[in-house]
Amino acid sequence: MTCSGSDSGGADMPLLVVDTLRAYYRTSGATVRAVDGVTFSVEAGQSLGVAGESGCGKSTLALSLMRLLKGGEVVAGSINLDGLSLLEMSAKDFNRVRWEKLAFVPQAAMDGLDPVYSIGDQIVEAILAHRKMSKADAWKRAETLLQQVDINPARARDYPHQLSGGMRQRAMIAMALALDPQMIIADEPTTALDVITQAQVLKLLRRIQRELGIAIIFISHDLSTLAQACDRVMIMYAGKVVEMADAAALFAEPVHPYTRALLLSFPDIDRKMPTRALRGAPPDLSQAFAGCRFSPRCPEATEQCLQEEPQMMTVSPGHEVSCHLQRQAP
Amino acid sequence: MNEPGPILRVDDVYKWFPIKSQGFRNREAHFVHSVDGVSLEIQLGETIGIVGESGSGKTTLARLIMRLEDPTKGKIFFNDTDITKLNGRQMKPLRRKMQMIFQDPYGALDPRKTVYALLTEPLQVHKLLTERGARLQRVQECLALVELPATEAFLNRVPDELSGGERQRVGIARALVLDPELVVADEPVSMLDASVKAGVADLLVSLKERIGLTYVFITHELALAYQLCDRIAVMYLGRIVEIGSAEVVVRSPLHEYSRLLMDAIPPPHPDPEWGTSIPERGELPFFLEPPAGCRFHPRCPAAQAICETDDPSLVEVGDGHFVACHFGSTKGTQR
Repeated sequence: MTCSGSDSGGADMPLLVVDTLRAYYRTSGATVRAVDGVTFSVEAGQSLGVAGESGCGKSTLALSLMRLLKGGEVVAGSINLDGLSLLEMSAKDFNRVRWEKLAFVPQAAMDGLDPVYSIGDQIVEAILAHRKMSKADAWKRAETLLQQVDINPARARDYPHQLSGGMRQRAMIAMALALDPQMIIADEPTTALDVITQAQVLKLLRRIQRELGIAIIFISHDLSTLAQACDRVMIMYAGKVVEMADAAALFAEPVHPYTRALLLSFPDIDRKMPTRALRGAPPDLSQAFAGCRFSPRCPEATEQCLQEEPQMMTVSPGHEVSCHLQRQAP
Repeated sequence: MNEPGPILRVDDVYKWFPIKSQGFRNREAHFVHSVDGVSLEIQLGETIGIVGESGSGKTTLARLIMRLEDPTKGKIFFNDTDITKLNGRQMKPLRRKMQMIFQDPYGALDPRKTVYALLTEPLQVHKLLTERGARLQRVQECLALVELPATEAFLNRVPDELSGGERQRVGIARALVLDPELVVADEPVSMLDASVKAGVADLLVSLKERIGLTYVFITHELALAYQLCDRIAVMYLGRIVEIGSAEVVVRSPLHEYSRLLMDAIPPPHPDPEWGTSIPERGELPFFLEPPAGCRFHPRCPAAQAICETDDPSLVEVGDGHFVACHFGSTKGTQR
């Protein structure tokens, strides 16, 4: 469980390793186990999508990785980024990791820009807080960054209200890129955007990952966006990972009944298949569970599912699932 | 069925919002052309989807239909009565027959009222079913329609004690309680989780079949409109640029804007080809005055010289399929 940041992140070591992470919120008399034993890793330059319904723990996971969890705390587990044990660092050391190694585009980020400073000023401020360079050089860097996210650098002196929602979101992504991070965590980066703008931001994120080699953790409740933007996809349910696979495999051969139900609830315009709603709601995470957390909603649940918690197992190379109905690959 | 007139007829309607002039030197009046000459007929029992990005004017059109806004110009007929001419008192009996479902299930319900109070309020306003037992019965019927429990415990809940999906179902039940003929739903599922969204969308479809409602369905999600609607109208900068059966608009769109909207939808499986036709940038521009010529020409990949000067009108290119594009009728075979 403990992890002393001794490993210097060898060549074959993943960029990010999260091990049995638990993040709980304690309210009066109850403990909400929002993230309850999550293990995964992300290779350098890889994009990982994290999906699930509201309340499955995906935002809590993102905030835990960024050490921004409010009202809750990480109670167990480890987070290792490029050989650094993030949870064991001092706040001061972590401040250097934030932005320089690990940048965050929070939910509704485009509304998070400061209205009284121009977007250029805000990017320059982020750069100067971490790098020793002249203000003129920082401005030059800010303009390059804006260009990278398809904003005309002439607009660097514009204030947030002068930009459309899509442009504000691009500006936030430019800010995340400011200090050449190895990884960006983006929480619902396209959710409030119009469909064409959403497509443009998705393409932008994909380009950033491929051309700049930056790893991305892309959190969304919208599986269709993850299908286009991610190499791997991880499905969370009630604070746990229930399935993880390469995007192609996950969408072609979803194994967990929850993943299959989620996919069926999406309208597919190519097929005009009637969508099928997923009945019921995720469980109350302040209650203890005996069996599989999805079993109350699972159409295939057996006696074993109600009593015994399933463990993650590999069903084919790179494809892991936690479901009693599956067989471990030989 | 004999041929009744349309339940709703929107006749060349405009809604321009004035913009406050800054200082007194620059006193010229400026207007946002939110709805800029829209005509539309909706038949009884039909479901029509109004699709477009934010700023396309779709929500303003919905509000005009509900007479929550007065048009700058144009007429709106509900069952052959021009509602733009009516005052509040004359409007009241008609309001009963046209109801709205709002986008935000959190904001649309008074947080202090119980489910019962929320559902009986419209009856109270219209002084209907004044007898307690009859009221309760109507509330129970409506809850059954939206597949919510009509138990006493549920009736006593307040919005905070409901899930997002339950709130939106209460919002729908509230719209149904007066037994309306026309329901205008403004992005009724866009704030819901994907899994919940499908359930509410299914409910809207089944309601249409069960009680023969006529819907105007406002959405930015073409896939959803396709699933729910008989016809789809695509709006861009205050105008309808294409309208036709859902099948035709989605499968063989003729307007470049409709095509762009279609292509932008990410399919629910990895598709390496997806997004190739989407330009890297370029968003719905904000114009005080719409661009000259075709208002889509600054973003149109196929724009020609004529598009910069001549404003195309909406012309019929196939059975009930209209498109406002200079090349609309010649493009049909390209795809």
